[in-house]
Amino acid sequence: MIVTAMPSNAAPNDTLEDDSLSETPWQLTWRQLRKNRFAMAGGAVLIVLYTMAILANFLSPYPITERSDHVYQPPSAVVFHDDNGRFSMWPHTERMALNTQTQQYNSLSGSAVPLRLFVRGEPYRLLGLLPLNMHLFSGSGGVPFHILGTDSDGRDVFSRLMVGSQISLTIGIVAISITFTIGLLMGGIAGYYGGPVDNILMRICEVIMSIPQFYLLIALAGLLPPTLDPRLTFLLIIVILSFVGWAGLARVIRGIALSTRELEYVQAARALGVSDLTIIRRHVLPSAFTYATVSATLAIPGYILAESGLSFLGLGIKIPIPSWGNMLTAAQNLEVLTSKFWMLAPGVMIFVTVLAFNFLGDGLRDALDPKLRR
Amino acid sequence: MIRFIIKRLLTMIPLLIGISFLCFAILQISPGDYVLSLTSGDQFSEELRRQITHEFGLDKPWPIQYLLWLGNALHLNFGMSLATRQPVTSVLWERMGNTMILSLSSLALAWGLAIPLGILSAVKRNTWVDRLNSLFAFTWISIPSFFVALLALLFAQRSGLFPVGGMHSADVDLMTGPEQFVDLLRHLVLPTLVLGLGGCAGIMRQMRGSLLDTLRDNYITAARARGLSERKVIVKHAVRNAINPLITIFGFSLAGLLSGAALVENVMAWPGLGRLILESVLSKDIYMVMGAFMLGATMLMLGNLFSDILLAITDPRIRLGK
Amino acid sequence: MAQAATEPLLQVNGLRTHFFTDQGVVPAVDGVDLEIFAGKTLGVVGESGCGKSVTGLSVMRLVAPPGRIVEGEILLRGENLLSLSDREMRDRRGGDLGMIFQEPMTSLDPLYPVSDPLIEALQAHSKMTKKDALAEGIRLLGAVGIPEPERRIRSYPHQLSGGMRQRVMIAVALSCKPAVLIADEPTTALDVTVQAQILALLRDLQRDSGTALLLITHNLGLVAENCDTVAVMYAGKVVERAPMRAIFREPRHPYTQGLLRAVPRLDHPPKQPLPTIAGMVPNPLRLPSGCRFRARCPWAIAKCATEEPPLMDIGPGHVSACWVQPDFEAPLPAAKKTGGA
Repeated sequence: MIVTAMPSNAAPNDTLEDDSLSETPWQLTWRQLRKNRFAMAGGAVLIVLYTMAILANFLSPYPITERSDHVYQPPSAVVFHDDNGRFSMWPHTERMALNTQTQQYNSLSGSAVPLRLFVRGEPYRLLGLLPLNMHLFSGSGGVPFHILGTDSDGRDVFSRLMVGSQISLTIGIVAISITFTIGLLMGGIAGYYGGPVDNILMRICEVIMSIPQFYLLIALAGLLPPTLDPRLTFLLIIVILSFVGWAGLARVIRGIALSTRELEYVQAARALGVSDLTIIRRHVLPSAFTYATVSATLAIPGYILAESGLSFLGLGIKIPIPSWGNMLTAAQNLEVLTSKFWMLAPGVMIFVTVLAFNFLGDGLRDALDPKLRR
Repeated sequence: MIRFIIKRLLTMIPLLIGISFLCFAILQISPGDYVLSLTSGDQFSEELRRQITHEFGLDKPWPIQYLLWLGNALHLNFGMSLATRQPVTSVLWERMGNTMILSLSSLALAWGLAIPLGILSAVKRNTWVDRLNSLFAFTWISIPSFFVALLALLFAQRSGLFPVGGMHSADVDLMTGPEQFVDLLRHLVLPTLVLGLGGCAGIMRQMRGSLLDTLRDNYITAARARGLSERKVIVKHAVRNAINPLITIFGFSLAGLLSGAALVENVMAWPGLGRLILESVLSKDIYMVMGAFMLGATMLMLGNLFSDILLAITDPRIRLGK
Repeated sequence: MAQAATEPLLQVNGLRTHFFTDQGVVPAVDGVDLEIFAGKTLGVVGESGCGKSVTGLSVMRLVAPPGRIVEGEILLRGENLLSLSDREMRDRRGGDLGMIFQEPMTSLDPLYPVSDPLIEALQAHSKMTKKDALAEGIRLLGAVGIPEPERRIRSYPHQLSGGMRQRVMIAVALSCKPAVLIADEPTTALDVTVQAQILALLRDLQRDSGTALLLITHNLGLVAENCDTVAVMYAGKVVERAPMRAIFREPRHPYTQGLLRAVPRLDHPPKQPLPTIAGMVPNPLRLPSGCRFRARCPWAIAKCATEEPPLMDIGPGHVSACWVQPDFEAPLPAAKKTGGA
């Protein structure tokens, strides 16, 4: 006995002018995300970082493999006077020399040279395609300008930091894409088909997930031959990261697929004779998609940390290719750690990157959570 | 309950076999082998190499090697370390103990801080307390653990308050029992802080989220409608329910700590299982790697089992069945 | 209840409870007057979102942020509940005021047996020992019709059906003999047969103890069977209030009339569409000027758009907020049947 008078038709000119009805879910999510200042800040930082990675060669004054005899030089001084001591608005830098007795570097007075902008230097290819040789800044008159000092081989840390960002920032994204794809596919198939397929896949996932992650990473990465082509190493590291990571995602996707499978619209589709793969693709996966997206964004920091951890231990990206992780290996030496602080810069960069991803991912999760709407 | 535990322990066995197979396969696929790295000088003749290889049983086809290993493993004999010629089990035992000490103290720190802070954050939502906690949590989740470990070593060196890495002082054998204990504690502090604070952050956010969700449940309003004090509503009803999902995480938390300990052990020279894995992987000491792997996996699975038991005990819906 | 029988036990005057969301202020309850007498039942009817639940929560002062009571008085035996301290209010809650909720499935803490809320309530409002409280709890479970109460009291919520859980909730709410019991859609989530039992139970208990009952529901049938007075709410306001017979025989507000017309009847001519109220509830963030119902009202006149009608006396105990006050039997103006401004 239904007694309520539920209004059945919206009259054409009634007073209900709720705009939110006409927004797509994505628009709603974006609007919600915009309100989260931390998430927006994180997103902005990431845009800056990735731009920096793309322009890495442009931003680096020196080639990453160019050694010099200025080993472990602290950051070059920035002064505002010329070589005669006269004040100048334009930033200058001074030559540094090693005092062999104190083993300290000092700036040589009277050696100030102006910094130059947009100099021509070592050629490179932007995005691997466009040949250029323009660099943003450099020293002049044969005086090197090392913003962040040099490392154990006299290489410019700042340049290596810039180029290293390319590795550290892309590995995470590429690996997560692979994990994402495999996880969705495996989880969707296991959840949808059930039975022996599900069983086998889940056993495999359990095996992988029962090994402490870093143990597995060390084992897989450590067994790569050290003499392998660095680019191949790069690819294999990505493969290793994906291999270790897909199981967790697949498991959850499988759970979602299982519950979606019983929903009526899926049964209806089956009754209509729609092929299984299409059903998985069009009905089961979209509901898992939201979870997977949030999960992916929050997993990227994990991959970045994993790669840098491995590289730090000497197992990941091998020197001389710079990665923020392997640039920190030198800091394991106590002497370096306590006196050469500029060598810790890569750690700060990792921190900032991961923090930005975490802010963004967290904001994204809140924005997609229907309970928190409005 | 006992039946439940036994059933779980039984399912662990095929899982462990699967893991051992995976591990063995990985080791076999990788190029290079132990004998080669050991005998890389010219003074080793080919004849000698073959002799050593045969001695270690490395010349048999690998399925045979695996089955031999498996047979021995079922008798808890994990073979000999190729590097030190000591039984794998004795080395594992010692190293496992060290990792357990570090992992357990970090676990205690992480959870001991996370639960109260999470509750505080949820109850004082959006106040400065909450925001501060969130900032703290985000920072610790984002900073690489090996970087914190480096900074901890820097701090130790500069301040002289704590030893710089390691687990024992060099002269530990000369100390009395209580002195040895204090020495251990002094070495434990920094690694525990590094590992524990990082773990704490994630758990704290989970606790906060879980409590915020629970506070929206109907029985909370109903409890208030009975006239209960707010404190009683939160502590007796909200927190107890909010902790439930966290018990599930407990197993993952232990897994994460075991995994994270590997990195911290290596940076801070803590002689544990993680450090052992790195050493033996680099020297291709396969039996040691297998043993360490199996042990790590076993500890992880036992941790999960423990949290499942804990959940069954505390949740009447699971305990009594629907 | 040492109380003059002609004084209302609970009186709500000019209650306004607003929700301060980041999209604007939602005036969920916007000027509501109600009164309930001892031993009587007031039904508050309206569709979802009209503010009836928030009214109930406001009386208990259980409105959660971003909601807040911004104006009004709630007089329980002449004492304004809104001026009490938190502590004093807590004493009233569960004591003089009881409340049962819509969802019995989730209103009990799953981790504790059913004895727990009973003992909690009893110990919060009296000096009973645990043992005595337990015994009283068993007696209460029996009183609400739960078989084998001495065994059931140890059950966990998930072991009980929805109907049983609601009975437990009623036992808890009545344990400290409240003067007023607020029942917010107590049977909506239950089967129809159980609905009847629960309401019969409430009626019996009310008769025995003289408790006043505030019954919040959207179900007109329940109202007809159980209430002495009825208040009809729309968009946060009471639009009509009258003794039960008057509401059903001579409703004077177009909304009430629409609700009554929409009740499917056995003698409705076949193959004719069922009558409905055209249009939808207005967006609380953008309420229309004048009468809030005018967009859907077949009788709206020009005055309805500019001046909001107050509740006007039209009979003994019968008020209605409408400029037109149409006769229920009069035929609807044809042009306005589909609503519109």
